[in-house]
Amino acid sequence: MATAIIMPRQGNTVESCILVEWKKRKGEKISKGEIICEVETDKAVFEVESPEDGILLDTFFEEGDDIPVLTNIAVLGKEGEDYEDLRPTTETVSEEVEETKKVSEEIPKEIKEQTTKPVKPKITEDRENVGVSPRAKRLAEKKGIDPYSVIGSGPMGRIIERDILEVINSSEPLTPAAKEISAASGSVPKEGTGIGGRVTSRDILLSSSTVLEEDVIKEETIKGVRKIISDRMLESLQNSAQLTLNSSADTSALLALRETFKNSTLDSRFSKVNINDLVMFAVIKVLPNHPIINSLMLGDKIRYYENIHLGFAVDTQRGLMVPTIKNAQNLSLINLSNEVKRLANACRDNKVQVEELNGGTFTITNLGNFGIDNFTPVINLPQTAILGVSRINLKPMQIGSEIKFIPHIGLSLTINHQVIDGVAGAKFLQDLAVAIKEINLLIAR
Amino acid sequence: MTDKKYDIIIIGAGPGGYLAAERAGAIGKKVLIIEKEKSLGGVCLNKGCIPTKTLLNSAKIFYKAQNSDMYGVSVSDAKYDFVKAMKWKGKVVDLMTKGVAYQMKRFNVDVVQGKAKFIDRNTISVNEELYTGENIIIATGSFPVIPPIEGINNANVITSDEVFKISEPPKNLVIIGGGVIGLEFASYFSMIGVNVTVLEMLPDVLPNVDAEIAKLLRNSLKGCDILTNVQAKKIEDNKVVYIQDGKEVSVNADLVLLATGRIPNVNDLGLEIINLDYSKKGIVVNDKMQTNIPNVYATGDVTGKSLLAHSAYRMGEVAVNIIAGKNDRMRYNAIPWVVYTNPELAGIGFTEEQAKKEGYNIKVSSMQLRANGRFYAEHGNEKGLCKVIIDADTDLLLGLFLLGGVSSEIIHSAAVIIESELRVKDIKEIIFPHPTVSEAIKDTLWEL
Repeated sequence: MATAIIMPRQGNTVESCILVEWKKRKGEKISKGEIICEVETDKAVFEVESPEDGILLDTFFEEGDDIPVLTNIAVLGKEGEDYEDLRPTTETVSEEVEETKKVSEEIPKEIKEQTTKPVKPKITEDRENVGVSPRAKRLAEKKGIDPYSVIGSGPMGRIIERDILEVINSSEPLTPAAKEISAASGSVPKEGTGIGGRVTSRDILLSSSTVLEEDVIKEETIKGVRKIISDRMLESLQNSAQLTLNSSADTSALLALRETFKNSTLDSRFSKVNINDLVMFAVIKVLPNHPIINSLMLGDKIRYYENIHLGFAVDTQRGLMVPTIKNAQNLSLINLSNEVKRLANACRDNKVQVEELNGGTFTITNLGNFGIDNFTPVINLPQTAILGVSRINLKPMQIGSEIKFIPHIGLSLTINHQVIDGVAGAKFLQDLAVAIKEINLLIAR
Repeated sequence: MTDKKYDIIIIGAGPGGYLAAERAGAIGKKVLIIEKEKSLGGVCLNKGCIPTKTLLNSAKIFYKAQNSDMYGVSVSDAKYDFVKAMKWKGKVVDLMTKGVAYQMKRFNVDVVQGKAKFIDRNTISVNEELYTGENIIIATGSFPVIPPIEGINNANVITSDEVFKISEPPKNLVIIGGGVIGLEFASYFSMIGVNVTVLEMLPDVLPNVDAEIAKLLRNSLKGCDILTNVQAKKIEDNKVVYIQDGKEVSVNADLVLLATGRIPNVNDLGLEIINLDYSKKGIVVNDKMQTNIPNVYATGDVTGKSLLAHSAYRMGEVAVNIIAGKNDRMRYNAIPWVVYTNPELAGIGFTEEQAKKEGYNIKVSSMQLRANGRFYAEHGNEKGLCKVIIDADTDLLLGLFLLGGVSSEIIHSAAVIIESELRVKDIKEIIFPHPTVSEAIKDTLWEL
């Protein structure tokens, strides 16, 4: 009597398997234990062994077929034996469509478990290396999905059926027009702007082009202070050779001094002197030794200034403004501190005079309050340099045999390399760092 | 003291407000709706959509009674009873506004009558009582523009707000403005036997409508004198003086109706207190109906985006969905509109001009409705036209205009087509019932 080879049941949740490959052909002699074929579930590939010796009388399915478990797939017996009663009827083979649906209904539970695990994003070079299960491939082809665009959750990143199902279930449908366009452009957003989240043709065009989504609800003309900043910044970067040097200075003494000022009962104005004032004071003291830093470049001439007209950046509602402290070298620390506050307030209250915004020879800008470590300030032309002051960070320093954490303030000097060389800029920063470190001596001088 | 904390406070009980209240109430939100008028429903139910359509229907019946000889029907002594028609209108409005009140009760929405004013982002004062809401929806609607014309304050000048208060129809009516509101009233009053003159400043009526169709509608409005390129200069007790070709001309008018547009109601709400981004053109919102203040939303006419009740409904739904944490967005490309004149004109999407301006490569097709069996049987030689504008690159419907019959009842299918981005070849697969005027849509597209 002929023996049927059945599609084995592989676990409780598996309702069908794909026949991957026939290892034996119709009419071949087979011994018990030999591999007849390979079948695949959504998780793994299994081998089907022959239960006895015999001749493979017939195979009922082709490679790639999706076959319900426990269905007869082949028949084994003696030559000439009748096996027609073992041939599966069409009823036992449920319709392919139904089958896919059943599987997809069952999957969600597993997907939930699956998605909580971190999945390694797929890199394009993997394309050839990452496997796609035939089941996944068939479903992907049917639904018009590029299987390689999906992140695999199977072993070694293998793309399996449930990965494709997840894509199908989690994406909003495409409108007919979107589908047509997506065939050409490839990229399909998961969710669209159409009815019920449908992906529209415009969504596809936008996702594959660089056109910004029209999310803008406000448009304003660039004018006033913004316009001035806009023009100046562009002009500065286009018309000079800017280079930024970063350094830092030990602020132990400066912070201690600030503390003393704060608690001083000698003069209430001391309590208002802040870190920025002290850095500006140090700059003013160092600048005379570096005339090239306190200069303007006008056409083919460099104009050196003996007096220091120190500009400093102020953030206002209208935008960045840079008032100038004229002849800053003549001011005591307290007077400097007062003048900085007066001008900053005038800018913020829109009361600053035009002449107070002109005539700077060097500029300081401070982003320390915003947690910036260092940056590249843009030179206020025709000035030739600008100092950016950043926040104070602890820096490990080897002192003797010990490592100590010393507070350091970030200093970024942008120079116009047309007139100031790197070394000249570096020397200024070096002197400034010393001046800040020894701020007490500087003030005493 | 009662609990005056709400999940959502809605200011204004027009379409942009009451539907939002219903939707929010239905999902269990605690909602307060504030309405300054006694009756709920806003302009739509009280002074707009519903009363005008009721009156237009009476007038259309009256008109048909007198003009159906060719269909084998002659009515002698047909009468239009203005007072009775107004009474019927009153009954319709009453039932509809009560319906809104009922819906508010059904969804546990609290209703307060009075003027609302912002105290802060979460607090609204009404009648000197304070209410706090986690979210606020501003749906205060719009009001008629009063143009600066000499004599505008005369007793014989009214807007669409006051038109339902008149006790008898005028003999000679001048309507200033040839937009949707102006033309609907022109159609109504002319059908009941009033001498109507429409004065429009622009070269054509209905500036946002396809020029070909607007012209056709203008020609088919019988009994109205529609003047374009004219400017009203002065209103006197029994006439309106206007300028035509540089010359002063006058026309008799015992009543003058202003229909020069509507502007958003943004005043006296305390919007500046919460630093809301708005101008006289409306409150600025994104496609989620969010304003610049995170918990404050705006819907309907007050946004100035689309002054239509059905746009307001949708905006209200979007706002509530966003508040409820659901993903939603307002789309403006598939909003149908209707001019309920006789004949009706319905449209959606881009006109030929607009589509070209937007840079589309277009295909246009139009069809006389006379070729449609149902239309010809019922309307004879009345004007009727279907016009479609198609994006030649994608084969998508960009705009559709339908003049004639009750096109208002058909236009929604164009909205479905545009929303679902069906291509011409897809639309051709849809089965339209025969014989109906709606077949014109398919037949017009078939040419492409």
